[in-house]
Amino acid sequence: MSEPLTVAEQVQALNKYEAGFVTDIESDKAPKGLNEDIIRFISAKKNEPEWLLEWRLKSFEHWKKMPEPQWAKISHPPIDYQDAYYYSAPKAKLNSLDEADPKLLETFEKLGVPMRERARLAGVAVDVVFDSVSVATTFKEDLNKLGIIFCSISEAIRDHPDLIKKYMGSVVPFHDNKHACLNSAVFTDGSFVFIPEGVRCPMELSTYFRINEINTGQFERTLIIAEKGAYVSYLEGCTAPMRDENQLHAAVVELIAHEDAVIKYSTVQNWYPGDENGKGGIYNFVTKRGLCAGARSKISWTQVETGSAITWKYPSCVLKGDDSQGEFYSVAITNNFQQADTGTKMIHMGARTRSRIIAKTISAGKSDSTYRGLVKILAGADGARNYTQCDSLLVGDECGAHTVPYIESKNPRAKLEHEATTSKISDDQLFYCQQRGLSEEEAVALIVNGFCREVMQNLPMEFAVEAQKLIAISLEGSVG
Amino acid sequence: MQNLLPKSLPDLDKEHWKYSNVNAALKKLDVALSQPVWEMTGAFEFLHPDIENGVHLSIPKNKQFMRPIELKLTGGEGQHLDTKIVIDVAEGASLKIIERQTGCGAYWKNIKVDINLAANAQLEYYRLCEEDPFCVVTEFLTANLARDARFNAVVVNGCSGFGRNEFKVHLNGAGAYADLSGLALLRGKQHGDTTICVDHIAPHCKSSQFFKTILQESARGVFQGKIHVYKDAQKSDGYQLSNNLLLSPLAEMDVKPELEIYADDVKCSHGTTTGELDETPMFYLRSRGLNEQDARKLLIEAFVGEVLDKMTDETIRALFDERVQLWLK
Amino acid sequence: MLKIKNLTAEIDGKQILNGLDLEVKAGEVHAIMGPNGAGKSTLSYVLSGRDGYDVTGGTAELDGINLLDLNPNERAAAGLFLAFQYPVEIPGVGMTNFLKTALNSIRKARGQNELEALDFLKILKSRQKELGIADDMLKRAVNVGFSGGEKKRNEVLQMAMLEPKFCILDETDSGLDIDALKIVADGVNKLRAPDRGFLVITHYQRLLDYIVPDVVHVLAKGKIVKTGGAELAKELEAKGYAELVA
Repeated sequence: MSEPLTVAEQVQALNKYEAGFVTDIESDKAPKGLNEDIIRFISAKKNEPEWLLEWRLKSFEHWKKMPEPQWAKISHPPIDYQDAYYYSAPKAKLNSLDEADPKLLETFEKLGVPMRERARLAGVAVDVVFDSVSVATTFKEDLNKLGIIFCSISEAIRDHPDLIKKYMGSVVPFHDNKHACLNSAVFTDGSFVFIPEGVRCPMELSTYFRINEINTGQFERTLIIAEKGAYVSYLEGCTAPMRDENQLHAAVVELIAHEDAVIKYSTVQNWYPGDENGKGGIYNFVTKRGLCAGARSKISWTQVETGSAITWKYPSCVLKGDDSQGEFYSVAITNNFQQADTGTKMIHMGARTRSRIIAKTISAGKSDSTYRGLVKILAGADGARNYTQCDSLLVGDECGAHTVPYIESKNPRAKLEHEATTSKISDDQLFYCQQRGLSEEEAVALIVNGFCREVMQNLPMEFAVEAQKLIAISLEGSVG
Repeated sequence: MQNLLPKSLPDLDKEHWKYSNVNAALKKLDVALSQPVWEMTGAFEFLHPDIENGVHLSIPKNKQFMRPIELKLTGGEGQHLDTKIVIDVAEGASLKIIERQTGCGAYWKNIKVDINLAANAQLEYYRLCEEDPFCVVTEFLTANLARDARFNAVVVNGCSGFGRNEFKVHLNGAGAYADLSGLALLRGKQHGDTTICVDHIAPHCKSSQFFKTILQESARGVFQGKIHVYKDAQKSDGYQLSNNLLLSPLAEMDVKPELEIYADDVKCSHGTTTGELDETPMFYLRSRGLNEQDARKLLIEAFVGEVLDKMTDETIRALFDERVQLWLK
Repeated sequence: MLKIKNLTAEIDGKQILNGLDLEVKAGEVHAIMGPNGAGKSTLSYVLSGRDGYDVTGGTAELDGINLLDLNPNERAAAGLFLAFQYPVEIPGVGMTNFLKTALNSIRKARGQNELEALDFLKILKSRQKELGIADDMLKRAVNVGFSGGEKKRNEVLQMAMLEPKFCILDETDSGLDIDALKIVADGVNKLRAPDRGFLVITHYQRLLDYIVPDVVHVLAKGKIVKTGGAELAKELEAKGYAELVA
C-alpha cells in the first residue's frame, strides 16, 4: 500500500501551506481510506492539540473492534469504510461571504437558500458548512457582545480549549456506538455554541450543511452549551445535490443545558434519498443527545426527516436535573425505497422530570419507516412523567410503518402514558378535498401536513414554510 | 446447563429476550428430566394417545362442548418437565379449556401449547398459574385461526420465580378474531414476562390484547406485545392495551408494545400506562370516608376486575376471582 | 346549464339510478325530494365523481362539458360544487390554508393566476362578512370540532369562495335546528345569481320555505317520477311519498 507515504507527503506539504496561500478553487483532500495516518493528517491539518489527536486515535482503536448496531429495522450492503474520503476542504479561509466561490453561492441559490437575504431579513446568523470546513460565519460580532460564542468546532478547539476539553464527549462518549465512535476519530468540522449565564440568544442560530463532494463522508460534530438560565434556539438544515453513490454521514450532536437553561434544536433533513429505484442516497447515521444537567433545564428536539436513503437517528434527552424537561417532536417521511428508523430516548434520572414525545411517521412508495423510542425511568426519578404519542400514516399498499417503543420503569411514583395509531388517509378526506378542486397529490400533501401539524408548529416560522414544501415534494409520485 | 435447553425452547433471539434472561434463571436450578403427569377432567372422549409426554385433544366437527375441560400439571422439586398440549377444534365446534399450573419446589416446566381452530371454530382458553416462587416456567402457545374462528384467552399468572408466557397467534382466515387478556400478579423477586405476537395474515381479522400487571416488592414485569399486519391483510383491526401498577420502589416494569404494519387500510392502535394507583380516585374514596387501605384494595380490585370481566363463564370466573382475591390479601 | 340524460348508476353491482333525466337552466333552483333510499345522495356523488359509484349509462353535462369523463377535481374546476351532507373533518389543516389551496387549485386549472396571500385574505374577509362567519371558525382545522350548524355554514362559505357555476346541496338541512337552517338558507340565497344553477336535495319540505325553488322533482327508485312547482313540495309534505312510490 502506497497510501501511508502519500499521507506523509501531504502532512509535509501542509507545513508549507502555512506561508500565505493563494485561493485555488480545487479542494484538497486526503486520499481515500481510513487509517491512523489519515487521522493524524486531519489533526495536523487542523493544528489540533496533542490531547485531541490522542482522543481521535483512541476512538479509532475502539471503532475497529466495535460491531455495527444491528437492532434497527434497516438493511444495506456492508459499508466499505476504506472506499471513502475523510477529509476535503476549501483551502482558504474567507473573511466574508462575498469572497465565497460563486459556484457555491449558486448552489445555495438553486436550493432556495438565499443566505444573505435570509440572514438579513430573518436575523439569522448562518454558519455555512460546505463539505467539511466552515467557509464563513456571520453575525459573530453581534453575538460576541453578549458573550455568545458561535463558531466552527475547529475554531473552538483553537480558541476555547477548556470548554472543548470539559464538554466534548461528555454527553456522547466516543465509544457510545460504532457511528459516534467513527465520528470521534475523524470529525472534520461542525458548530460550537456557548451561551453564557442568564443570556437569551436574540436570534435563531442556523447552520446549513451541504454535501457537495463525491464520496466525502460528512463527520460533523456539534456542541452546544447553555449556562445557567441561558436560552438558545438552533436550526440545522440539510439539502444535498443529486448523487449516485452512497455517502456516509455520521454526525454527533451534544447539548448541555445547565440550571434553568433552555435549548431548542430544530432539524430539517433533506439529504439526497436515492432515486425512485432505490439507487444512491445518503446513509444518515446520527447520534444526537442532550443532557439536562441542571434543575429545571429543558431540551427540545424538533425534526422533519424527509431525505436520506437510510436514516438512523435518535435525538435523546438525559434528564438528570430535578424538574428538567425533554421534548421530541418528529415527522419522518419515507417514499420510494427509503428506510428510516428514528425516534428518541428519554432517560429520567431526576425527580419530577417530564418528557413528551410526539412522533408522526408517514410511509409511501415501497419505503419502510419505524419509530423506535425508549422511555426509561430510573429509581430516583420520583414523580417523573412521560407522554408519548406515535401516529403512522400509510400512503399506498407497498410500504410499511412500524412502532417499537421501549418503556422501562423502576419507579412506582412515575407515570407513563403511551398511545399509538396506524391509519391511512381516508377516502372521505381525499374526495372532499378533490371536490374542492385539489388534485389527488395536492390533497395528500395537504392532509399529510395537517397530520404533522403538532410537530410543524414547533418549528421556527421560516423553517416551517420550507418544511411544508418539503413534505409535498417528498411525497411526489406516491399517489395515482 | 446449556445443553439441557431442549429444542422446543423458542429461539433465544436477543431482541426477543431483551428483558428476560432465561439462561441465568435456569442456572440456579438443579433439575433432571422427569415424566410430566397431566390430571384431566372432562377430556376423556376427545383424547388422542399420540403424544407421549403431553395431551392431544381433538374436538369433532360442530361439537358444542359446554362443560370446561380442565388440564392440570403439578411440578415437584428437581423436576424438569418438558411437555406439550395440542388442541384441534374442527369446523364449527366450540370448547372451553382451563389449564391449571401448580407445584412445589424448584422445578422447570417447559410447555408448548398448539391450538388449531378450523373455520368457525371457537375456543375459550383460561389459564391459571399458581406456581412455586422458586420455579422456572417457559410456556409457548401457538394458535392458528382459520376463517371466522374465534379464540378467547384469559391468563392469570400468580407467577413462578421466573416465568415467560409467550403467545403467537396466526389469523390465517378472513374474519378470524383473537381476544387475549391477562393479569400478572408479581411479588418477591419474581420475574414475569408476557410476550405476544399476533399476525394478521388474512384480511378483515380483528385482534385485541388487554394485559395488566401488578408489581409488589422487588418483582420485575415484562410485557412485549406486537401486532404484525401482513401486506394483504387489509381492513385489519388490531388493538392492544397494557396497564401496569407499580406498587413498590424496588419493582420494575418494562413494556414494549410494537406495531409492524405493511397494509394500508388498517386500524391499529396501542396504549400503555405504567405507574402507581391514580391519586384522584384515591382521594375521592378517602374523602368519602374509606381509610387508605380499603381505598387501595377497592381500586386494585377494580383494576384486576377489568381483566376478569373478560371471562364469560360465571363458574370459571368465580374460581379465578377466588384465587386472585387470595393473592391480593 | 346542467343536462342529465337517461343516467344509470350502480354501487357494488346494485342498480341505484334507473335512467334519470334532469335539466336545470342557469339562474334556476331545482329541488329534488324523495324518500330514503330513492338515490338522492347517489345522484350527488355520481355527478361529483366519487369512487365506487359506477355509471353504467347516460350522460351528464355542465355547460356542454361531459362531467362523467372528468376526475373529481376537474369537475370542481369546471364549476361543480357539492355541499356535503356530512362535511369531512381534516385534522391539522387550517380553514384558511384549505380555502386558499382549493381556490388557487381551481384558478390554476382555469388558467387564472394564483392569488397572493393578501389578495386572498381580502376576498375571504368580504365573503366572511357577507355570510356573518366568525373569525374563530377560520382559525380552526377543517370541520374539526365544528357544530352541525357550523359545518353547514362552512360549506356555504366554501361555495362563496370558489364561485362555482352549479351547486348541489346534499341534504344541507339534515341535523340543523330552525335558526341554523335560516342562516344557511340565507347564505345560499345571497349566492343565487342569473348565471348560477342550484340543485337542492332534501328529504323535508322545511328547507324549501327558505330556499324557494323554481322547480321541484320527486325522485323515487332511481328516477324522477313527478315534477312541479314550489307547491309540489307542500303537497308532498301533507300527503307523504307513499302515493308516488307505490
